[in-house]
Amino acid sequence: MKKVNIVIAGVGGQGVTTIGMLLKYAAVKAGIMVSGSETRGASQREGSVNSHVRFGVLEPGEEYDERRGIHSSLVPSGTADLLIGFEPMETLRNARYVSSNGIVIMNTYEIWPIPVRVGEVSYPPIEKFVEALKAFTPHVYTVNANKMADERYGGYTMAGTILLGIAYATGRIPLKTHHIEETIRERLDNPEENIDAFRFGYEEGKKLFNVKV
Amino acid sequence: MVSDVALNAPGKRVLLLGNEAVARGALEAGVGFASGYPGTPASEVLDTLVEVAKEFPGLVSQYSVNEYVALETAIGASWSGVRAICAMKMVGMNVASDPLFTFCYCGVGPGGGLVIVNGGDPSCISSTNEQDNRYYGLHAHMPVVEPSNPQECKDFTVTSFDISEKFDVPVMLNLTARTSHSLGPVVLGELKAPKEEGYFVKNWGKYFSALVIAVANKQKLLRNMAKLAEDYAYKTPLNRVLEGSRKIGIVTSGVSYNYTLEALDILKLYDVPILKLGLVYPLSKKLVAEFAENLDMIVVMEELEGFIEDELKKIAYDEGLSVKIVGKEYFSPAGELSVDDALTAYSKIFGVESPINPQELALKTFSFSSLLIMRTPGFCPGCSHRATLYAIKKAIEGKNYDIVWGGDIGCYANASLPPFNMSDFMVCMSAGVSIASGISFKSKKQKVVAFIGDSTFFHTGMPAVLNAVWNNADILIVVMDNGWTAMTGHQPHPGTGISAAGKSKAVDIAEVCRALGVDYVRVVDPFNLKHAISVFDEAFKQKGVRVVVSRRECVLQTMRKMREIEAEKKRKGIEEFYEVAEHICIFCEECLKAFGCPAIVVGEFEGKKVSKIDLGRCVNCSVCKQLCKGCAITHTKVWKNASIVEEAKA
Repeated sequence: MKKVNIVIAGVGGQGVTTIGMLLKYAAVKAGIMVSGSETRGASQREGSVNSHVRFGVLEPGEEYDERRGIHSSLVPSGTADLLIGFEPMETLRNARYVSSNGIVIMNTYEIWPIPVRVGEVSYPPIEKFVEALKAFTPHVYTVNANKMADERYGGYTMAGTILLGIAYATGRIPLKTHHIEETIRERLDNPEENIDAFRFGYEEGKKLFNVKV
Repeated sequence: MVSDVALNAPGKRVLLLGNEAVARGALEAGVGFASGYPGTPASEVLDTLVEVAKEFPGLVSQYSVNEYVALETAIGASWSGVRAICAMKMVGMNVASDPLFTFCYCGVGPGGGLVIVNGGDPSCISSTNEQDNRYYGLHAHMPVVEPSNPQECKDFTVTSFDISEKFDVPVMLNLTARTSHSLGPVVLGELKAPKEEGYFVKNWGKYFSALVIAVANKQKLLRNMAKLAEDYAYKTPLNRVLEGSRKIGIVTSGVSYNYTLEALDILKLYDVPILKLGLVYPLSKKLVAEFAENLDMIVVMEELEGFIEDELKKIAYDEGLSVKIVGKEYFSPAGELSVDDALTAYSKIFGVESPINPQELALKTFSFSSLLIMRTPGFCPGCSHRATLYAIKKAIEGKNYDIVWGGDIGCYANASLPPFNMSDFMVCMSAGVSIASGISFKSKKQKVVAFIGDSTFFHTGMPAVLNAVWNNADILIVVMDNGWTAMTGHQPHPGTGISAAGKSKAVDIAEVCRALGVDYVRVVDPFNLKHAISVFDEAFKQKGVRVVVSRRECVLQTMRKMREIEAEKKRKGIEEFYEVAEHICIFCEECLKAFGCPAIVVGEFEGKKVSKIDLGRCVNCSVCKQLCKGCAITHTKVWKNASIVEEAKA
């Protein structure tokens, strides 16, 4: 069984849980094994949150074997194929999950913790985060999804779906676009705008990763 | 869309949260009564049953004011011959423990199996301690069932009802936060219609527990538990053995089983014998002896205390097993475990090198720790608690009061964090009031303030206030009334005018306080800052028990209700917002540092620093405008759509 591990990290209120749930529901639609867990209780309250998504894909002709299946709802350290960071500091906070060949997509939109906001400390420059992340994997990409969302949709609410689209362009998410789009249609408010944001993100991602389709 | 939990589609594969799967299991068991008090990580069990209740005539789902009331009500349903489920978080079990012990002696009603769902919280993600409630099983003589994933959450719930009725004892379904909040596929089974009506068949010798009857009941309970341990625990499919040829075996349960299999897969160890326990108490001696037969060593992986390890060691001694049993040497009793812990332990125990080095990765993150500023949760933008705390801070400004702040359980526990730092202790539901009273009896030089939320007030706060009045405490009690049990997901309480079943009578906290004998009761709206400050100023100067109810609905609920109004405004092209007039802002940082609203950030104007409002997060609560020293914050309302303006004029 091929295991695909994804960690999504960010701050409560950004949609980390929503995007994580979306991927899991889409996996059920695709008929692949799925497991996962997310931080609850800090949602909308400025706390660090993350969402672990695990897919198990049987190779052609492979039979399910319990001892080789997906069990933990948490991603083991050093095994994430994809780390989607909604906020720079939270991306680095979850760096240990990413595998040495994993891809990190880091949204550069900063959300300052209280000590920064009250002026006790300053928020480190983004370059420091990139440098630190590169100790875990060479594949680190930065985007400003909030800016993209603001320019295109006049607000930040679509930033999460744009990031999902960008992440999808890595080719590491073992789902078809229609699985994701159907799930968006069923489960998100404002589905048409979200689908548009997902497709927009996908196109932006292809440019970013230089993928030829 | 019908909730997946309520789908009448046996065999269909859906994705459920552990807690939702427990609710589904209860529905498949034909549960007729559900009760509980919200508490993370158990909240969604009852939330789900409340949500689907209308689709299951005969199912009565109730939020209770606290856990002992919840359990006692469920006992009533059980004794009427109706299957009942009662959900709470682990500290709630302490509250429910009073009826629990005696209830185990009495047992359940005929056909009225009762399952107590316990939500444990290793790592205290949203709790004040880590207590391992499997010991309640040992102490009260109650079977403990522990599922590993959502599928088992559903299946084991059904089985738990069967065990409860078969052995005439309540069953504790033990979950941890990670099981409760894991999302996974569940294959649905048949739904069973709940018993619409129950009937209490009198049975004095069973239900009237005292004196010799209680002792006889205990003897009956012990016989039932022994039978369960001997026969049932040996045969039940709740426990499973994964065969293997190695001399070292693993005994595990719950999430630890998942971490075990995951780690063994990474280590490519497919020949380790594993005993996976679903029924963790009581254990079958025969099962353990058979598993241990060819083993030199057993490693027990379990979260928190070494409960299973201790039970195994007892059995090993009694049965004369020569096997060595280890567990807590490798797995810490503090905090949540993970695959990383399993990898570290098993690679050492089995002498296999791990391809992943969790310690090294953790260390690598640690080396960048200076970049990682701690992100403490805070109040939401527009949260009324922030305004209340700010008003209190303003009321005491320059007065040199020596104040002790009593914190309590709820969103307002964030008062302990910057910028407020206004909770000196926090122990358990409503302890803020009682501990503060105790301090006021002995520490005469200090002013004592106790915060309590609305739901906490109804939970156990009322007796605490009464005791304070009765013994003439000298405390200011601030009821942070945001209208909901907000922290756990906006469940209703007696003050909301809503019960799980719908509309109900709303009980006013201020009136209750007056009835409890409090002479000084005031109600303020924290968004009317000037008034709130003057009331707090007055309240601080009084003596005795004073109550200020600071009342303003939770902003998340208000925003939900406002969604339609906002959409209508958007259609009409009306925009309403607060902004900082940058040329006026003197950057005194009152809004930023003293008030600390997340929607206010630092900006720049003509080379100087200014406060700036993040319009994406601001919810127009208006408090920053009220507190702005330089009157730089303005309220703007614009009509973008000219035709609407014309329409309005006409």
